[in-house]
Amino acid sequence: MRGSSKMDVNEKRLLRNNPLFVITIACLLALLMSAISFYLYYNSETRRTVELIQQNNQQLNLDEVSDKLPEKLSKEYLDQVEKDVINEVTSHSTDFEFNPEDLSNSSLGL
Amino acid sequence: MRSAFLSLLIITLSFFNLSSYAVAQYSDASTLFREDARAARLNSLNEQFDISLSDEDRALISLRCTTAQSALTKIRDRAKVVREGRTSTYANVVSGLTILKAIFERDQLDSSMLDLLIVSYQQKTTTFNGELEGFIVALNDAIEINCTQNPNEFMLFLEGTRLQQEEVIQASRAIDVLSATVLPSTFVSLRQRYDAWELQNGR
Repeated sequence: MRGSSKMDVNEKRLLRNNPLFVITIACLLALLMSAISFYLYYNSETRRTVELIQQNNQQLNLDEVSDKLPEKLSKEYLDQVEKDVINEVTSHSTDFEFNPEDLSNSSLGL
Repeated sequence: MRSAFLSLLIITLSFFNLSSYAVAQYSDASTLFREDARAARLNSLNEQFDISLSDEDRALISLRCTTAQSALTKIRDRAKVVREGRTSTYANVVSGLTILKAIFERDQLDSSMLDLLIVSYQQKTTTFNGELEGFIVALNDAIEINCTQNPNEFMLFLEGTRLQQEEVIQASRAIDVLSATVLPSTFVSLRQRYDAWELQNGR
């Protein structure tokens, strides 16, 4: 009984000292970590954002919009774009357009 | 001559018959698909909400539900108008920002912040559009059901519209937050970059 446990310990020591075994384990660990990293990246918001930016850049054709571009970039132009965007988005009101009260039993006459 | 005319008539009629059969088959299939999807939505709502109406409630709902369906129709029509308006708004926003990005690229200024802002608007508006579409579908479910015969199902679909409206509000608020926080801070950074660029180019 004692003899067989001594043999086990010896076998384990042999495995630990075997460089091929250590390298294989390290490679497997590296592979596993790469797979996990890839999986996390693939399912992340970052990947979707990067892909969308790439897609936008591919679709952006400077020739198509060249007639809309001012000759010179100016602070006034930046202010105007910001103002236009704010005007556009504030033209909608969440509270007014989607009022939960509209769907209440009393409002529906139930 | 007559036989040729008859053959032509038979061929035309056969073609007409075949095409109307195909149309009928297609519309049957789409109706079935729609009904299946509606049944699935009803099952899902049944699992989420426990609606047990008393006989008195059932009678009351059966009596009043057609008025409620008229009100829901108005809400659906308004939601469709909102959809049109918002689609155009967000297209204008993205287009305005894209043109600004083009100018930044032309003048070799860093436009990465604009990239992120544009993508944020695109992602948030896609989510909003999906939720709004779901809201319209939920409203259609509540409008199209025979509510006098099925008051329980009608109430379930009504809960579905309320649930879906919350999702729409959440998605809309996300766009509001983006416009109130990320948009101004992006423009502050853009102005700083512009100032540095102007200084560098001695304009």
